[in-house]
Amino acid sequence: MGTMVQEGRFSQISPSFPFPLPPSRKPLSVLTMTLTLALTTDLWLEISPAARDEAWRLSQHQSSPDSRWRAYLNRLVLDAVLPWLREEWSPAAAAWPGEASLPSLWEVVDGTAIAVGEKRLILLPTEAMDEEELRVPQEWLDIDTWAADYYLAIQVDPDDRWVRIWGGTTHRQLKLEGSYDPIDRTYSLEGDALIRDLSALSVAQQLCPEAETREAVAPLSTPSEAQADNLLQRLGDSEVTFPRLEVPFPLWGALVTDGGWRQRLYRQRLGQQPPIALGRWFDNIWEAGWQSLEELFPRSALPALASRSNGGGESPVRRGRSILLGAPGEGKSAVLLVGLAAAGEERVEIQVQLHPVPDNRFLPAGVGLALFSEDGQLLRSVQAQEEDNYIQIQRFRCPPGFRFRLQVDLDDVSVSEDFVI
Amino acid sequence: MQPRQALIPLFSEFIILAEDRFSHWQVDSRLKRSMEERAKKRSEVSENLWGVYWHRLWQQQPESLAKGHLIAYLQEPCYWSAARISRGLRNSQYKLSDCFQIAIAQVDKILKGFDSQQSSNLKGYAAQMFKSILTNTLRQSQVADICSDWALLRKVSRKRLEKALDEAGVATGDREKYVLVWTSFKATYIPNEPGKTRQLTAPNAETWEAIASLYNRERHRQLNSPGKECLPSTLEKWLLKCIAAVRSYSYPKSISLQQPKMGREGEEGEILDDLVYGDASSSLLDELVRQGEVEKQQQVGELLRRILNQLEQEKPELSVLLQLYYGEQLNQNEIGQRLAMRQYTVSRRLTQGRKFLLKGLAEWSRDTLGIVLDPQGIDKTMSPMLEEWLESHFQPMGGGGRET
Repeated sequence: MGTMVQEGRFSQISPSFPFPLPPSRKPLSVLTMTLTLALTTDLWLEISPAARDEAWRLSQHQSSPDSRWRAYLNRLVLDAVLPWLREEWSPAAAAWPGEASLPSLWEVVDGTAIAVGEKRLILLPTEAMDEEELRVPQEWLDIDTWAADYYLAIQVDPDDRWVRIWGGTTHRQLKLEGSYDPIDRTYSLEGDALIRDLSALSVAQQLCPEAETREAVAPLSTPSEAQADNLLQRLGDSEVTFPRLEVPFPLWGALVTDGGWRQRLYRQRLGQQPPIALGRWFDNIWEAGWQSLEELFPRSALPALASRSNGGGESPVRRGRSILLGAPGEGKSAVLLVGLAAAGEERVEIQVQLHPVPDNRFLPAGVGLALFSEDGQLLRSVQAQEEDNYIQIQRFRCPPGFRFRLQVDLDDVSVSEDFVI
Repeated sequence: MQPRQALIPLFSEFIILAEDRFSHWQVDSRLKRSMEERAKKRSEVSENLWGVYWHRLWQQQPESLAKGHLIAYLQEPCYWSAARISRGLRNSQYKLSDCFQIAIAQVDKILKGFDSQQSSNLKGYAAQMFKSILTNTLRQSQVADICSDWALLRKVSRKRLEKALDEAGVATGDREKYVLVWTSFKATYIPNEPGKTRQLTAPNAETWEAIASLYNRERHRQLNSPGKECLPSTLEKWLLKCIAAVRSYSYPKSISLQQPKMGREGEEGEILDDLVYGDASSSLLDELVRQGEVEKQQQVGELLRRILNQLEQEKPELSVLLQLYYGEQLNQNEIGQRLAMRQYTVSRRLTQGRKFLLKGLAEWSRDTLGIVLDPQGIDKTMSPMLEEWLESHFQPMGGGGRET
């Protein structure tokens, strides 16, 4: 019987690093060889040197090497893929739930969600260069508000600065065909089972958007504030390397999807200061650095504060602190004033103003004052013009437990304070 | 390489390579006789249908002559993908014969993955699969070459690590411990510069302490049998074992080709009777013919030609890349050089061009054939159909390209 193929001279490579090549053969550059092997069915996108540096810089705001690296890879992938998605799928493609939520999300879980019209895509970055599997954290499948339609497997090579989308799948396929690993709480699908032609996904998106991409997901029940507080205490310790594996999934899932709790978890793990407890101001208890008006402005009367107007007739409790926005002596500072008044039904009314420091008539031009919700959404903002005596945020009312952040900024410098009622 | 034209050789001859090039076709006489028997008076059956026919028989009897016929049939797509890829890697350590062997060794996987209910084009499917198998294998091998031991640990998926450990003979009970050390290693020791992931050096003592402390904490939760607390030195030993296993797994081994057991003359047991299909008088071949696959293929061909024409009118910058890639068989790097374009742009435009055609094909399938579209269907059926059409359209002389 004939042999099918003559024994090819088969080169064995000695498994030591670096390996010696015969002098007659120069090795191909790594990138050249990589790109030579590119197929038309997958997509290669470039990371510019500037984007790489920026991603590295931004990813430092995490609590541990593990979460920093995770934020770095996710950021690289997001920056490379989003422009392409905007061109190929829809100009409205955007990170979900929003740019502001990314650091707190990447602190604890891998993956980046992108909303494209009514559909959602999850980008799953990996350093692995094999195509054995796609692994997706359970959060992206079993939490009803987070579940998506498509999941993309993306290799990242930070050295040669590229990302490669090599396959994709749907929620449905992952739930029906994937295997669930209860130890690390991920669903995985073999590389061979993935959709390998990127264009197939994008064509399907256009031609059969109604095709079943999602399986039903039951909603999670929300823990009480007390339960959440408890969890945050425990998981807020950055020594806990894998907070997502510490408590039963339904509890974890409900915690991490709440923007406020997630943000608190993030800040706690970063070791940031707890927020200023405004409720205690009514009891004359306040944090260091916050002073009364008389102490802040010993010599001047402040016409701007003459307003008294909150319906209940009670004068508000006011405290302030100086905010430095540049080197001392440059004249770049202001006084942040926060006023608190009872507003019936346990609610409080908050008044926020920014005044020039004593002996100055005007605020530094361009200084900004902004109010953010606890999960980073901008609620209100105002900016000083050339000759403003003061600026203020429109008064707002909130219930006890409400958390917010005030930010004062001038040019590149910004100072924030967090508050809880 | 001379492509085979006639039907019988297509399913009964194998490539012989010499001096790293095509030498000649070797006839397997048993396969030849088997085809001759069946092909008697069945001139209307196309090569595609024969492919499906043998595939169905193979599914029933994996070690029979059917497999031999299929491997013979797939010699050419295998050869062309090996030739094309090795040509692009001139001056590397991978020669044509190496690539051919790596690719053909995976033929079982390709046969298993082919769904003849969805598609009748085994050759087209195989061509795409050979290319992706080869590129994947070579890429793994390259990664192992350029990475330091500790960096390599970061460049593998968990599944790959598990497979490598299995292959290295690690007991299943121990495997979970090795995987946990690896997880602890990755969570603790990360590159400290944005662009230097390949040269990771060995962890220092302090890092080993941190890895050990994470392992020891997590073993209670992540292991079925937590075992004793481990010292850094033990964990280091285990990780070194992981590295060795992964390295070994990354390089294609000397492959023993899966040859169907041809047996000796006179052993009739392996010659299958023709599968009886449906009622007693019809046979599988008849049924396949009846299903009208040939006609559909012609329609698809015409459709794609029309759509390509449209692309050439509306977006010539995309169609020119298709011509270079499928016609002149340049790789993306070479196209970039030829057009003074970055490879990333080449990749995007090729994707866009293919997508234009794929979309047209999918729309037609939906509107004319009444096929209900879904992402998997488009990927598993229409994509290989498109791929095969692109290869054959731009290479009408029935080949896969240039010789070195």
